[in-house]
Amino acid sequence: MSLARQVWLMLCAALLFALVGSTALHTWMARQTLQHQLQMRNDDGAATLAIALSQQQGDAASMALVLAAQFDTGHYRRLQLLGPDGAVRLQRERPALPGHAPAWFVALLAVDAGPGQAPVSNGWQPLGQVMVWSQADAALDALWTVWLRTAAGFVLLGLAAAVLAVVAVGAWRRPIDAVVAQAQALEAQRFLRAEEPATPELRTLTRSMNAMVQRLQGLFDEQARHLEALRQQAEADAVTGLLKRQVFVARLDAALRAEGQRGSGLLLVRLSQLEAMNRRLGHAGTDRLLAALAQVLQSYPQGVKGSLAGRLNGSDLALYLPAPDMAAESAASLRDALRAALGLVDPQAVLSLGAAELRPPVDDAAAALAQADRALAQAELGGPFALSVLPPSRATEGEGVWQAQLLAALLGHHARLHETPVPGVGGRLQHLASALQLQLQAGGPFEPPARWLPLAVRCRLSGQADQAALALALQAVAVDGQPRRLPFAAASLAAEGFVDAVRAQLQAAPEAAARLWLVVGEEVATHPERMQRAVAAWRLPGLRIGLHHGGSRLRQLPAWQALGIDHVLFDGALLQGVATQAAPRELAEGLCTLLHGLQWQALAQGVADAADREALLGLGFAGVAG
Amino acid sequence: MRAGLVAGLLLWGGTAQASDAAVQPLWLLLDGVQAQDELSRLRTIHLFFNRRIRFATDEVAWGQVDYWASPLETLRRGAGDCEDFAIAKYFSLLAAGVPAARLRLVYVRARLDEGPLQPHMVLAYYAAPGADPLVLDNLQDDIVPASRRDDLRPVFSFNSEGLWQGVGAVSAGDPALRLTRWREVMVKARAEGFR
Repeated sequence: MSLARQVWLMLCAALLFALVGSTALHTWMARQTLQHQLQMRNDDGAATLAIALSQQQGDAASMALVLAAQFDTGHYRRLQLLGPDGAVRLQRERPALPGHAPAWFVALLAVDAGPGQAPVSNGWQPLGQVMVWSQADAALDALWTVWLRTAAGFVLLGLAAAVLAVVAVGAWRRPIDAVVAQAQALEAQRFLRAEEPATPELRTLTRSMNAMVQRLQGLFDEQARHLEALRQQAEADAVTGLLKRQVFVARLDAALRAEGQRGSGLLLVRLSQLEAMNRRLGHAGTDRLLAALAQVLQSYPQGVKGSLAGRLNGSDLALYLPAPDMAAESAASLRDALRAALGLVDPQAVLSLGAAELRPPVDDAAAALAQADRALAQAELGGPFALSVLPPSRATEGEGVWQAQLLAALLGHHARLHETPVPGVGGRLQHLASALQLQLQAGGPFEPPARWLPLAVRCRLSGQADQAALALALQAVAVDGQPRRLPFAAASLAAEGFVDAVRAQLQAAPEAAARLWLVVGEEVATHPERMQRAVAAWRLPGLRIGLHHGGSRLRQLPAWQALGIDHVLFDGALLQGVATQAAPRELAEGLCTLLHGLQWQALAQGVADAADREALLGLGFAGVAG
Repeated sequence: MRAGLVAGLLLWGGTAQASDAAVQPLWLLLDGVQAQDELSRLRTIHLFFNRRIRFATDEVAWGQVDYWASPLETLRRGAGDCEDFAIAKYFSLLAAGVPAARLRLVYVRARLDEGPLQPHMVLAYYAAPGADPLVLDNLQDDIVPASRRDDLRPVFSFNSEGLWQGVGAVSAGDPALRLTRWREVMVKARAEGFR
């Protein structure tokens, strides 16, 4: 039995005991008092009657009259005059009146006062005794009323006590439940903070638990914060503080692929005549000027979630805006802000600005940059501070056609897996990175996910695509026995039936499933319950489930513990230069330490440089792909 | 009866008062009358109290308007009024073995010395039911039948018959039942060892 229930039972028993006991005691005392009162009334009535009868000189008629008079004017049930021999000489009696006390009550608490007795005499001669019984019905009724009121009063008091008890029990139960929940969460590697209760013992307990949880969490958070700082350092251009080119391109890639996006804008800023400016201002002066421009650009990523600002090369800066139909307006205001900033540093400096409105599907960052470049080239023809905005290159009216093609490809199995070997330590094959390619037009090319995935997500077809990929991967594993890594879209997990369908597929081929790495998009972390449910449903020996870290803040990593994953896939842009530069190396080392602490494996993809790949494997990454 | 007395004595002796000089003669007397017939006992006890106790009103003896003293209280005080005499004789006779049914305390109106009628109390002894009772009066050492006491007009008489049944069930200390004077004296006398 739970502690709370035991306390409840005890409280109820105590209350009931006190209630019944006090009511019974109270009623019993009242009965005793009533009985004494009644006895005295009987005695007094007898004495009075006896004295009155003794004054009648033994005249029977007078005595009968006096007895009748007393009986008729008093509250008597029965009056008797007994002779010296004990025989009844005179008697008056009336039947007991029906009272309103119930029979069981009368039987239980009968008020049984004895009759009042007093001697009667005539002169020197005793005439006998009078016996007097008063009306006891009224006494019983009074007792019944007292009992009812007492019981009602005690029930009210009992209710009040119960309410108080509810409050009191609740007051210490809440903190205990909170601490228990905290301990259970800790077991699942989640960190909860419990509110400190007022009870001193419980407060000490809760405080200790909180302190321990906080220390543990602080440890992980500190590590993650450190990594975050390292990441920013590794990603930032030294002069401007904007993202480095490779980092910007990788992030742009990820952003364009991101699910559910409905369009975006890309702006390019080019500082004209950098050479001349270098000569005029000196190297340091040019850097200051660039920094001033960067500060203007930086206000976008700082203010708008999802926007990116980067430095592509010496004179080119880029700004990505994550929302459609913003490019033209933003480009104009950006140009004005940049002109103002330039005017303060070097009035002769001149720049051009090109903007492209992007609509999915966009192939990749290179395609997007090419569009923006075209706009920039147009703008440069227009003179100083010219601005050119390119409308969306691909109209959305083709979406219906695309959806039909997508569905046809999936239903007709016009699909194949594109596989890239991922080497592990010592160059041995760790696994094959598999990506689903779809033939959208009969006889046409097989298109990579970047081409169709955003659309598939919008049309809620990503689940079907992922299932198709899983089926192909399971077949392939069954044939060659090679481990394979498969990406799942986060949106698929939200689709109805997807989790169960995948479980059925996995359970149908457990040997092949044991060689799979399933990597879900990190967006799922915003719906942890979906991921937890999927992990619970898919859990099979050997099967690995992880998350694809697509450039979100590293500080979130410890929070992913709640999801139940066992590995994380990182993008190479984050780790570029790990073989040669200190900052990326420290970041990679820190990541390995953190993941080791969380008992996760680390994977990386898109690491272009062979030396970087070797370095990452050396640091403890399980698999690194180019 | 005797065993009860002795037990009462012991009980009382425990408080070191039973043996005091005023009370001791009564116990000796009660011991001595056991062998006598009822009339002799009557006379002995009547005279014992008439001679040993001085008449005094309650105001003089007890400082109260009306006080019913128990037999031993009266003996120790050495004074009492007509009720105190009657009560002391009543309980002593009971203790000497006279049945309660033959004894009655009687309120009378008395004509003393040819004066007006005055309230008075005597003890009456009935040798048989309906018989002419003998009157034990503190104003007369002679015990005479009631028929020869023209100076007395009986008003009301009573004894302890039947009263114990109401008292016996509850303790003598019950405040509700000690409220009447007569019952109070009965309780006191019983506590002193009388029955």
